[in-house]
Amino acid sequence: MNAQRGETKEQQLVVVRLDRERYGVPIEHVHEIIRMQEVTRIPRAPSFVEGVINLRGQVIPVIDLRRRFGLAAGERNGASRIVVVEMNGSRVGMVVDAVLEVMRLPDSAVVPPEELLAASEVAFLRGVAKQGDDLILLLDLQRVLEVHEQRELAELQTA
Amino acid sequence: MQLQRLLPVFLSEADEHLQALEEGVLQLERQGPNPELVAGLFRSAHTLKGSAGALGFQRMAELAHALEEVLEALRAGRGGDGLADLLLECVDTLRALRQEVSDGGERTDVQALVERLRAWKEGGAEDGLPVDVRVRLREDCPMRAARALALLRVLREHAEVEQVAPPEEAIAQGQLELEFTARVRAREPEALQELLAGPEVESVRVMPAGEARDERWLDLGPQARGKLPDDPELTRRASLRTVRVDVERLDRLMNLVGELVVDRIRFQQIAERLRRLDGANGLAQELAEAAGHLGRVASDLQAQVLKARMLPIEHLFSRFPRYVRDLAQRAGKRVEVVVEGQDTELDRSVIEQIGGPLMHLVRNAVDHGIEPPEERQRLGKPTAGRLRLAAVQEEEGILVVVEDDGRGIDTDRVREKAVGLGLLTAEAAARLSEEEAVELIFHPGLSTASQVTDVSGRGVGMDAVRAGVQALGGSVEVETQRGRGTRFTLRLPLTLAIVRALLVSCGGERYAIPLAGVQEIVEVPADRVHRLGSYRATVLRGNALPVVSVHEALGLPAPENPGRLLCVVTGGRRRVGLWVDRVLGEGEIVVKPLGSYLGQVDGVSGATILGDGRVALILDPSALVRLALREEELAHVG
Repeated sequence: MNAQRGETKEQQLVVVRLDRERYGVPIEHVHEIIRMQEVTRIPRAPSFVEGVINLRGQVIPVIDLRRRFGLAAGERNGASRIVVVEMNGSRVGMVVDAVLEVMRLPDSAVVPPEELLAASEVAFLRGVAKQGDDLILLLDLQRVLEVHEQRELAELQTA
Repeated sequence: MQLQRLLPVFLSEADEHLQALEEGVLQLERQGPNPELVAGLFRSAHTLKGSAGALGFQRMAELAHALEEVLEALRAGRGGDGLADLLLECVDTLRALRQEVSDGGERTDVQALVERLRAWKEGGAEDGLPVDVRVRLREDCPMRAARALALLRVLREHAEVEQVAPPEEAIAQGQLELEFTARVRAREPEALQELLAGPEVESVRVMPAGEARDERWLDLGPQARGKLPDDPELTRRASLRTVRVDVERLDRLMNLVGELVVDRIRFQQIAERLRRLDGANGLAQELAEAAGHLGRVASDLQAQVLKARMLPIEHLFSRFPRYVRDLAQRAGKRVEVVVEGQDTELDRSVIEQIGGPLMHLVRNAVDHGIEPPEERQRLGKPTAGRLRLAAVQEEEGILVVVEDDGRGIDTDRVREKAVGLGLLTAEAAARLSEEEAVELIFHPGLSTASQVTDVSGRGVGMDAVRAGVQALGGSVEVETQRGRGTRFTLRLPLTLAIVRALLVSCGGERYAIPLAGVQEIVEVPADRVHRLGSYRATVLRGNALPVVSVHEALGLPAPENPGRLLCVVTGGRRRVGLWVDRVLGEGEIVVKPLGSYLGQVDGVSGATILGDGRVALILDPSALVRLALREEELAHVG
């Protein structure tokens, strides 16, 4: 709404770090950011589903973004955070290496991911923004959280 | 905006009125019209019409209006024979509209039904409705007999007079006090009052035929419709101090209360550590006391919130008289429903989930249990079968009983079927005790229906009933006596939100197992567990018991050294020994859903938050048994 009305269209992002890359999560989907905590494993879940945690009495699933993106497992340390996002009515936590900042990004800075990245990397992205020398990869949460297609894939592979 | 706010209230009120209408119509069918009953029905139809109209639901309003008119005719004394079907159709259609309204808009066409209601009403008017007209003359009226006969003549011009009391000959002979009553059929009975009024006439009362002696009708004019002055129900409702609360709000409240309980435990732990740090300082003691108090408040609060989630089982039971009526009609049977213990309260989630299993049991009772009227007569039973639905609260939970006085379960046929389906050899079937044979009905795919009806279908399994009830942490038992009837007893937990569970640890993870599914815990040395191909078993009191570790059953990597404790869990008649490392304790746990993101996780029924704030999965014993035995079967094949 704002973006349509305003003269300079912009979006607000929570910028997180994963491996050496910076990713932007649309702030309107971020429910809260919490410290890493012990996760209870869930049987027969897709491999990127780390398990469930207790968020003030609510049991919510947590996914490991590194695994989701096929990156090597990283070390969990004091900087690790769980970004709790709300999507289609359910809350899901995403484990990231660190939360860096909240920033405003003019829409004009965003280009389609295909222009800058290899095809394999763009599956979870809705765009890329250049910021100085850095790139911010904008997450497409809908695809990041999509669990069913992944589950079917896993079933196909084991069949 | 306005509509959005009012809609939920409208919908839930509509539900109440529709329920009242349905119950009333069924009662009408059984007992015939009586003034209170018809007035109650009228009130419901009237209110429904009003509120549907106010919110712009035209079709609902129109249909409710037509219904109201029919009820009005009924109230004016029109006989209600054969009307029940039409009225029930009305209720069903209103219900469909109510659903459509909640989904976005009315779609069902009501015109045809409205026409039929009108036709019924008009049809009545042609014959004229039988009414009693009681005329009382003034004391100073001269020549009473002549006056009375004159009035009767007037009456004859406008209506068909069937009977007069005292009889006309007697009036002619002067045997008249001040009053006479005529039974007439009139097109417009209301008009008679005006017609007969005059200076010598003290009063004219027009009453539905046969109701002349019921004084309650005397004050009822058209203006007073729907307002029985001394209706106890009306006064009771007005004085109820209740508030409607969204269930989601209660769920959230429940979550917060659970948090409070966890916090209390942490406070107590902190107090304990403080005490060890400086035992002399009274501060630690004070903190411990405060934490203790917090704990008591938290558990009280929890109990209150749980209570707020409870509903009387009436919400479920009230559907059945109608349901059974329709079933019986289709099956050509006569069934009388007896409902007991409607006030028994259960958590709303339990009530929601036992509806399916109960319907199944009731359907089976009507279709297969209760005999057709001729057969019952031949057997010397009352022609109408008896179906009893009862709920009783026990210490640990609720018992729900579905009982019929039909033919009972034919265990010979059950054995035959099981053998026919290849579930058992003929010898094994013959060796089964009666109880064991009855238990076969819970086997998937086995149904004793000798004929397939469109209601029960073929082989719609009792296994589904048992699985459904067990998923709630309950159990189903069956008792049957050939020729005498069958009784199903469902043992249900009071609430789903809290269950008693065993807390175990296995491979470093903690799991909760609902106690309802745990038979016993036994210690079995590793050398007593035998490996047969890829599956293991031990012998427990002479019977083979398959053994799996929790991790195997869940499909997780198995820990290296399985423990020596076997937790024997049951799913239906089958059992499995679950290997666990340690039993940590037993207690009440608050059940939380895993959520839609993860969907159904096989073998897990939910999660709970432990005292230290960590999440533990709640295992589903019957699913674990299924999972474990499926693997065993596969092992046999391979």
